[in-house]
Amino acid sequence: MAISIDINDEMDLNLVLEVSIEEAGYGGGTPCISDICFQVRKGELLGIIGPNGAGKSTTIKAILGLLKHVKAKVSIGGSSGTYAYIPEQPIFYEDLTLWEHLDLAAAAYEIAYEDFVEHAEELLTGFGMSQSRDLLPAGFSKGMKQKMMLMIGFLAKPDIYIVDEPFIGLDPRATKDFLRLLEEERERGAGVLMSTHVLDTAEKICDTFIMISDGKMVAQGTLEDIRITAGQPDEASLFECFDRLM
Amino acid sequence: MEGGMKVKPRGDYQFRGAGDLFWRRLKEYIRSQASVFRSISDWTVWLYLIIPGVLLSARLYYELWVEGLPSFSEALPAGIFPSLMLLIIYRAGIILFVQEGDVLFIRMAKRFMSGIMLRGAIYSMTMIGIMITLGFVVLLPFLVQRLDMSTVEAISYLLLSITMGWTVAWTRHLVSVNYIGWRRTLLLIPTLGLPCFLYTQVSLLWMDEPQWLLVVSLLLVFTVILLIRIRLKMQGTFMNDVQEDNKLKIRFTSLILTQAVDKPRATRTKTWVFRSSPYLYRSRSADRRLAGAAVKALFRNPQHRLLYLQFTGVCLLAMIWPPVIIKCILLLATYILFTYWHYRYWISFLNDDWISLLPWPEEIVSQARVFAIRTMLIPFSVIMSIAFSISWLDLGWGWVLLIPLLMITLYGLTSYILVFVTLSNHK
Repeated sequence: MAISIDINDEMDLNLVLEVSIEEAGYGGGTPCISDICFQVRKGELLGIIGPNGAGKSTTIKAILGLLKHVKAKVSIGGSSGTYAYIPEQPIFYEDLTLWEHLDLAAAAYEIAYEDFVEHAEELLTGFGMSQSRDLLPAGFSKGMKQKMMLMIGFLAKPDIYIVDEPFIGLDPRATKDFLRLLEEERERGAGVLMSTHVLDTAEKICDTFIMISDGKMVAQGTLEDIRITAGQPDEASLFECFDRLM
Repeated sequence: MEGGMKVKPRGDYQFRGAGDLFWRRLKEYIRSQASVFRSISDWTVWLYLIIPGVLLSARLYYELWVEGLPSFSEALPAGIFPSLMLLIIYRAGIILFVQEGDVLFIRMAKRFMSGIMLRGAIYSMTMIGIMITLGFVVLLPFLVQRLDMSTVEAISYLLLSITMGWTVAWTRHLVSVNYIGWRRTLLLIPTLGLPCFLYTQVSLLWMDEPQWLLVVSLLLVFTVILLIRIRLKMQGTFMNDVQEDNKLKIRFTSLILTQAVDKPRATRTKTWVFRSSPYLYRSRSADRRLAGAAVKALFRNPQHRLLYLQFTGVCLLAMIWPPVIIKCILLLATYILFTYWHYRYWISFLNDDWISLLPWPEEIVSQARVFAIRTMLIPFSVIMSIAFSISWLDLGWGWVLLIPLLMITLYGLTSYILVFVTLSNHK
């Protein structure tokens, strides 16, 4: 089994992510997902949707090279070939404060210090986390931890954001700030790959979708394309298409 | 359905009342405790340790009765016996057999809930009684032969010990489920300290006056009944009840695994070390920021901090007395050990889930490693250099040696050891 993650200079200039997963799984014979292929363009927001256990998170893990058994080709394009992963379950270091997490991420992404300070202060204010700057994240609520993950992601200004279930645990204010920042990043040219269950929000913000069921892609394209695949009328919502296809 | 459960005939509920549910939970609890015990005692442990141990202990105990007490027992003060009993009494705890899942529906059925809790209370008090009786039986040869205790006095003293065990257990339980954090700790000191003080005083004053021991025991029984009534009427402590139960249920497991598994850390929001996320180096380059983060994380981690202090303390003591040649060997050996420990810590820091998500270039990691480990060693180096210099050359000339020694150890020795350790780990 093999995965190749390329920083591809020869990719179509408009593409920031190209994924072709032949099969992937956690080992033990039968693969969890197979035949999943898609592309993300500059400024595009692609939503991965599907029921629980369909293989959305597995797809993201396969793209990130976190699975042992993967046969796939993943190419990251864009100007710098960088990506930011925002996990569903917050990951953090227990003995570092929120500011130190941001600082360390900025150092790793080689962001100029002055730019980092300015951007980090903006993010802290934007997400209402200024008061928690020097606190350890272990004591944060789920939503605050999620905000921290989003801030670290936004700090890097990558070519592609890979976001796993971002809305879980976020309050309405934080959701709005997250969507605003995502919009700004898309205007900058960053692509977004987002797995989500929140279909009404996905319908409003995603340009394109892939629907996964039982580890396979059952529909792909714009909402219009999804409606055609699902045999639904023009005014059908994403939820109705989802209900029909799953 | 759980293995071993008898299937009730159709048309009848599996759990008809609190009793059925309590027995099911008690059996589960006993089964889990037995499996923990089995995990550390296979047949070889039974054959070579447990059975010979029990036989030897029984023989020694028999000797205490038949051949008299060992001579050292004459020197033991009378206060030692209530103190030993207090060690057992202090371990007493109450398990009510409530579970997190009860919040779904059982909690609403008050009859079920109080039935389970009452049975749990009876079970816990029985276990406390058995535990204290066993401890008492072990001490009995000393009480009878050293303090000339009669049968009536011994039984009265046992009753006092058991009722005191119940009182301590219920007091601790009520404080633990009603308060959290420092308030709980602060309240536990007087609420446990006072009964323990009273027990010692009553033991010393009236050990040969059983009627007074029985009067105090009776008062303690009334106190326990009152505490149980308060407990059963108490509202809004469900989550704390579950937490307290879980803590006591895994007490045996945590004792067994204490050497094998790290204790889960308490969740902290504020840090007392490097409180305002300061930068440790003047430069803001990536390697210094990575090194600084590793150093701050090391000193903020309570386990690492304690180990650092313990190791430094032991090395300091070892450095003061021996002749200079041994001092030099000790200094080298402790530096190698300390540097290696910090090197391993550095590796585990880099392999942490979050740190490893970040794209660190190899040269940044390599530069940061030297800075981080050298900084981690500074407190140790300063203390060891002072200990070495002053204990060798006295206060006057010792200070002259201090700075050169610090430079040699921190820059020369540490760098050399690090190169050696890094190369040997890369092979």
